Amino acid sequence: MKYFKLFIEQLKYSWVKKFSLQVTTLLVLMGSFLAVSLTLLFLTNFNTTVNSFGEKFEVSVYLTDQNIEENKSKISKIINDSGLFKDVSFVHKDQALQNFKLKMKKNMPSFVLEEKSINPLPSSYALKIKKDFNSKAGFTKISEFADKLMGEEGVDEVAYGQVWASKYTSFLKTYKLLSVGIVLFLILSIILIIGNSIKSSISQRRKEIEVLELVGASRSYIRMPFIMEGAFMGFLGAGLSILVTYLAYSWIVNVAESNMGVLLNGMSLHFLSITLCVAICFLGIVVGSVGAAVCINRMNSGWAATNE
Amino acid sequence: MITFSHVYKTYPGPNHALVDINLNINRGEFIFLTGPSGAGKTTFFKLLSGFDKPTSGQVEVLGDNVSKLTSSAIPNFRKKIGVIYQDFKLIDDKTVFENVSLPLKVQGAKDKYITERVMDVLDQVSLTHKSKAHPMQLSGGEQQRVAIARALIHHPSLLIADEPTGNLDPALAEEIMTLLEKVNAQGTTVFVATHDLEMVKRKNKKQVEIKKGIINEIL
Repeated sequence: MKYFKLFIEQLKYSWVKKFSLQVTTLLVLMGSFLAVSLTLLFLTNFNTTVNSFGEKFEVSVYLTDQNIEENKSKISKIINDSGLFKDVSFVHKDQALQNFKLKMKKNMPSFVLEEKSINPLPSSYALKIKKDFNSKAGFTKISEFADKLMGEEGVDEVAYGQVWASKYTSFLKTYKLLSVGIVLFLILSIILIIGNSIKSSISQRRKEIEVLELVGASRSYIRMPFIMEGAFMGFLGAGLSILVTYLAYSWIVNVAESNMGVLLNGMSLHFLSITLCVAICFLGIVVGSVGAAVCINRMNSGWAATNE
Repeated sequence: MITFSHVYKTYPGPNHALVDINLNINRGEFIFLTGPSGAGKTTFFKLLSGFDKPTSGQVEVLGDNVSKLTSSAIPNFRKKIGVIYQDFKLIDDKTVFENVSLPLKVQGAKDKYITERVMDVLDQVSLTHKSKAHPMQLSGGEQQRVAIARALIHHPSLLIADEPTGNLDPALAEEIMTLLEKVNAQGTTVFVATHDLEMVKRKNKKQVEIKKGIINEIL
């Protein structure tokens, strides 16, 4: 409570007496966190988009024409037991032909009218994979499952866009590594920027620190208000950056929906999750207070008043 | 009250700033520390006020062994003494009232007591009417009186001044010395480092002369 009172006094003093310095520090903090927030916003939406490609991914299992009904139940059990798929649908070869005719109605009317045409289409299963398997490990499991299924009697072919899937999973891996790298790089950068900004802010108050030492202020009396102010400034900078990011996001969504509705193709943009917003604010508090603590530690040695 | 026994202070070089200093100062005394520039006055002052430690020997001030003060014990030691500098060491963007009240705020005194005590001590230095002014709005003499008020506010037993009149003209210097004499008359031990020998002669107080780091004479 004692330190909180000191902190409030110091905050009032800083904002009234050193307004321009405080505003500059806050802008630097906000700018640094804005870079993190915007990057996270981009990565969040890019991640959603990338994952949505995976969710549309399908596996097709083509059956031979012999003993379809007999094989169907056996293959159906293998598919369900695998636990890899969220949606399983069976299309009999007769139904496949009907569907094909419906699609070709306009282009090949004579073919549609033929009552007894040869049916070259196989019976098949269309399998939609679960979200959990939208990764390299997931695709390895699907690949193993496909190989296993190929060995079963009654299965003619299993197709799942092997080449595309392989490239997609490699891309996912690179993308995740790159995302982590970018976020870590930004966090390290803001620690340096914020550290220097707070250092400059505290350096300008060196004389005050000297005088406080001179009149017998304890270390915690001198340091705590600076550390709490650092934490507060970090929190404020991070909070404001989230607000600016939200305004930017709202503007982008507005522009995208009114001008690029077709391009979005039903894809929706998402703002940062609450957890991520809280994490950014927490990062602000930690970086702000640690930066201030490191800086004040160098200046408040207990002997500052004599080191001129 | 103050005891220096076989005190040596050597800086890298080696530069022997103080050599075998032995001195006893009693409660209520008014002492001048004199000597030419580079004689060791400032080093002596730093040891006395707990801003440095001796290389060897014992410095005992108000019952504390300065030689063995730890960083965490320094604040408590400084709360017992009052220190005045030649360059005043006031915080420019705090008012006179705020500057003077600092030692009491640091000690956690109640706001009501702080207000009463600050006005009382400002009255002693005849600056009550300047309580809301900032240091830059004051003359050199007034700034030094603010520094004295700050050094006195917590009733220190020992007041140490390093060249308190060094930046002032003779009239203002006399005014400050008179003020320090008044403080001494109230029972506070006053220790003044100065090179103004004319003033020292006029005041006729106990004088410790230091030359090349050695106490030359105690008059």
